[in-house]
Amino acid sequence: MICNSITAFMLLLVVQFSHFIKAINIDFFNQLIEVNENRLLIDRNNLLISDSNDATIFKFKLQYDYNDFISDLVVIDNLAKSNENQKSNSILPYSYDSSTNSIDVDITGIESADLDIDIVIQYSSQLLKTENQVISSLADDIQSLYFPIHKTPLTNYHIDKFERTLVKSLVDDSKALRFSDQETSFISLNDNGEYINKLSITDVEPNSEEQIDTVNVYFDFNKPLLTVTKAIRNVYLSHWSNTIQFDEHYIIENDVPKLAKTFKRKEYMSYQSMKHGGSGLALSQFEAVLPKGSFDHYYRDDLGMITTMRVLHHPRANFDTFALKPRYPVLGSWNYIFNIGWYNKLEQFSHFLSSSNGNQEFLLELPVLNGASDLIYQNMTINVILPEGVKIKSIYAPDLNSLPGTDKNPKVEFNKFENLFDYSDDKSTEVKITYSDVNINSNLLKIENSDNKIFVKYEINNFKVYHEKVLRLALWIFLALISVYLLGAINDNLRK
Amino acid sequence: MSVETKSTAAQSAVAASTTKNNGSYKKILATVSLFLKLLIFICLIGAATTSRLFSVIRYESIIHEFDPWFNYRATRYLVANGFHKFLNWFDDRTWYPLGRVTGGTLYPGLMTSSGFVWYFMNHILKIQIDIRNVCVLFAPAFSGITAIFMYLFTKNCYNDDSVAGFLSAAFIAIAPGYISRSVAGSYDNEAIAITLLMSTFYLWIKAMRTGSIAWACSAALSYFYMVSAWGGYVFITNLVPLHVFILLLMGRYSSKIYSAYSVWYCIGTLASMQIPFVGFLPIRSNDHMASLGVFGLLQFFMFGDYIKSKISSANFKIFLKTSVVALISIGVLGVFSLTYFGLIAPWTGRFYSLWDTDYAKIHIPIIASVSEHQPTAWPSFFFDTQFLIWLFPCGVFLLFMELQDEHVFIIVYSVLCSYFAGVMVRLMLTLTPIICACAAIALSNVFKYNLKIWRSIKFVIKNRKDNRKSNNRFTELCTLIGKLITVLTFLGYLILFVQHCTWVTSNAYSSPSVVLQSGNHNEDGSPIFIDDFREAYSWLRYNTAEDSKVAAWWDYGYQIGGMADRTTLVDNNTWNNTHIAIVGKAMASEESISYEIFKEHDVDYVLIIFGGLLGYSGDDINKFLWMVRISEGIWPEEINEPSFFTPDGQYRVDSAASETMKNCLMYKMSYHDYPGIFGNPNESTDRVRGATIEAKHVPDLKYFEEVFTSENWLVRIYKLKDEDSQGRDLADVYDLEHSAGKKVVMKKPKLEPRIE
Repeated sequence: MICNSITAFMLLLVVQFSHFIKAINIDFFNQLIEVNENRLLIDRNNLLISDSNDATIFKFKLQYDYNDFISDLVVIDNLAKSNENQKSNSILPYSYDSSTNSIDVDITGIESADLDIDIVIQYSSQLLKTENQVISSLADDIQSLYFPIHKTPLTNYHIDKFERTLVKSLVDDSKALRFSDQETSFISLNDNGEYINKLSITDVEPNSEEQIDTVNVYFDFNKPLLTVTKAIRNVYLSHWSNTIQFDEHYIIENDVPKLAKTFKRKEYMSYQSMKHGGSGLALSQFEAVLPKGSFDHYYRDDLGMITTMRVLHHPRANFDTFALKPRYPVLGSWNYIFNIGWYNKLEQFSHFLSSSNGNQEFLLELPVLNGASDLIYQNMTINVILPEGVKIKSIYAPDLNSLPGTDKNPKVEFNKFENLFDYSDDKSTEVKITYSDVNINSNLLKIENSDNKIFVKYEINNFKVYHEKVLRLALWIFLALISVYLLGAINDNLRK
Repeated sequence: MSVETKSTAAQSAVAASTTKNNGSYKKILATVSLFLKLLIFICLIGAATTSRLFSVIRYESIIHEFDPWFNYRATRYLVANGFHKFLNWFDDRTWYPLGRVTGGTLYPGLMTSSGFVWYFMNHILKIQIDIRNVCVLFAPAFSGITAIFMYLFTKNCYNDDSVAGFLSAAFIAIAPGYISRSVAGSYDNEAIAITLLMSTFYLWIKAMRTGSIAWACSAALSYFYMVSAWGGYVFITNLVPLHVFILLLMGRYSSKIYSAYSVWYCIGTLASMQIPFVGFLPIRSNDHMASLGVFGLLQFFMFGDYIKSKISSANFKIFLKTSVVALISIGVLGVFSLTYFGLIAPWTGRFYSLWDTDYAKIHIPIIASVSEHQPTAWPSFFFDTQFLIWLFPCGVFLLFMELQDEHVFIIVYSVLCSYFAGVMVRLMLTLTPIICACAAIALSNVFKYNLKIWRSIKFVIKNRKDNRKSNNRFTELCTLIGKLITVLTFLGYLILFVQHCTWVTSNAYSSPSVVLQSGNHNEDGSPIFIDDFREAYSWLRYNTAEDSKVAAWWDYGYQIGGMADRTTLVDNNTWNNTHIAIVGKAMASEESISYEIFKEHDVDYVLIIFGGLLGYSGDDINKFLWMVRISEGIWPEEINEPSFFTPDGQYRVDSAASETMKNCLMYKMSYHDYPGIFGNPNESTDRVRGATIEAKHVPDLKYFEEVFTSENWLVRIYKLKDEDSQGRDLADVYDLEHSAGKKVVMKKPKLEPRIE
């Protein structure tokens, strides 16, 4: 019995081993890591793979933890992409294997023995750490961020040749990247901030020591690091007034290094006059992007209105901007909490689909958040409050991370919401969509595509939405007046 | 203006209706007059409400000033926790470390009313409205109701003259004296109290005139509501008995007065004792003894009246004389002895300061330090009531001419309140209604006489060819012109009055004082606001530990509690003079002593207001002498007011300032880092006091460090430095750090065994 099982286990091992070693070989591994203006870290891996005849999956070892650091990952089959007929199949499915922290790319559908695939990974901003935890004064406004990389990619396969390029595409005075001590393997390629490995590395063996070694890549990032620990967006639809109201609540934290001492206004004033009004690492102004044609804006917090706001309508662009100045300059590790809100015309977001028997069907197309630039959203809640008497047909809440195997999917709930003069039990429906621990960059949310939009298909009953409440109110008032009249009549009768 | 002209139209309509005996014509006129009256009421309420909304339109829907922030915070607590928890509310976030039994030391009327309105709107009418908006708009809404009660009061007090009623209602609706305490956002007890004052007085007059128990009960209930809303209820408690007492002296005792007063007193007193903060005061405090005395006297009168009907008048005179003497002596003796034995609480300080304006300054500086307790300046009478102030005596004179029972009430009210308003600025508020009533009575008479011109016009026009009566006609014409001139003059006054009221409301009483207007504008024309208070409070709210204790002068206590949501040492409740004196002493002492005091009280932050950059004159340096005086009252050997002055007795902050002044914490905190911000690195100008502050005259802060200063330096927040880990004195540590190579002699740290 025991013997049998040992034999079976051995067999399994042999099969596994031969499966990896024999079949797949990476001919060329080209990695391009790009640091972006808005703290985005994008890793493009181009892999040329040969001898994949027998294999059904290709195991790609991840450099960082899948759940914590990766916010998007796409595998593209370049051969299929270049072949125009098969364009739709160019994205390959994959699943996550937690035991080895790797993704298993499904390559069963590929007929040729050689593969040319791109694996594009967007890292979460949590990968970026600040090197200096404190700054001695406001004038010491250099902030250095870093992220670790493995010297050669982690892999289970043999790599014939490996090349790596690091790009810092920040609009900044210095394009330079720096590396941890005694690191000499990178050289600066050109003035555009591109760095490559000094020598192309050949014959990387699986699980070699070099792979485990990491090197830190440093760069300067002299802007506030804003994290929205909580964002709540309430959206109120009114077919009655043909408006859609947005009301947003933000809790923002600035993750830049703290001041070693305390905040001194005199120091801040002299810093500002030195920098021509700039505020360095402190947040003193930011802009939120609003849908075009917005009106009735407000900017407030728990204490009331914040008077330093300005709305700019751009006649040629399809958005408005909302310039917001915080009550106080938000320094390192300080919090700032505020509310903004505005209205738009409903037809900008709710599209008429069809009508039948006094019922009309609409499709609500709503960006998850319009938001400001360069923010990292951690937790978001979007509440869509539909008018009374509305039937929801279907809801689509985009999966912002679109990572298989993680539990970061949006949670959709339905609540009752009490509206004005809402006496009946037939309350409004509130659709609550919650994203937790997503760490998504606001710049990704701003891209206009269906991956960043919530869709709600709903049906309204004309009578219920437009007339019922008015009639009911009128009836109550009428009853009140009639009863006053009747009471008067009774009194008269008694006197007689 | 339309309000006044409409009221005269109503009057002429009513007058015309009486001259015609045609039934249907009369009926139509009555309907028209009813319609006009309704219209006038709607206009009055509209005028009263909208003229109070300047601040909402100009700024935002925000709670104003200081006290309203507490009321607002308490209302939020009530709405969140319910009435029972509210009454038992112990607030550990104020008066640290003592706390305050807030539920038992406030007048809950205002909060419960707005809480009720909020509940009614949200849960019954289903109009979702924020509690903040209820609170902000509460005073304007109630002022509309005040106008209605004012109408009823004046009408009932003055021979059912509805013209006088309408005029008085129109006056109170827009009189600045009342608006000053009832603009939108000024969510204070007075906002509701004036309404209740007028309703109680109206119901009292009604009860007294009819002798009806129902009206007296209503008056008592209204009185109860008033007691629950404002400490000024004592005014009613004394005015109504005084009215009755004077009527008795005038020999106008009647069973109507007896039943009205007895019912009002018994029910009113019992009801008022249900308010936890009032408790047993109505039977223990001197302020309430007059009403009890009059109640007893009235019983005696009733008894006397009964005796009178049984015995001869000669005997009755003897009976009366002896018993009056006996009664008065027993009463006076009783009050004195009860006070002496402590059974009756003695008069409060605020009461004494009503009679002796210097009393508070000498004995209780904390009362004198409040600007609204200062004596009223002459111009403010005119500022607050404009031409009504000179019509007021005319009205009182007219009442003297007739002197009916209810007229006596107005006379007593006017005389008493004129005195009180002269003593304390804030009592202008209680004087305003009666000024409006008396002026309306005078004006109503002016119009009543001078608008009877129809006959003269007819006479002048019809008889123009009749030469025999030409002499008469000329006289008639002169009279007509005279009357027209009078009417037009007063119409002109009314127009000016409306203009004046709007101007005063807009310019003087509509600033929230939390936000200031800078006077400058953005490129797009929108005004630039100075929002330093909220800037600093929001910083405290969002960036300090939730249990931090903030020490500041008591003026800002309610605002810190309401806006920054942090624990304070003292606030505007001022119930504990010693505690306030502690903060005053800390501000007026040297840094090391202040540090010790604040450490003993677990203080984390110290907040001060500094107006030097902006020219904001209500800042802490200008209030500083009160801090000195109040703490000197407790620690005369440590704090000495003259030492803060220059040798020639001036209060200076520049280089000539006394050494004590320069070394006190308030001075250091105000001017810390200030010199050098205008370009010249060594000095800056203090724009409030017009003084030049030089860097070398501002000693360094060694025990405190600046953590936040608002954009215009209006609010400055300091943190107490942590104690040195090696037990050294913080001043020594500072000197060591800043010595730059010089040798500093360090005192040996005090090391004592510590028992945990």
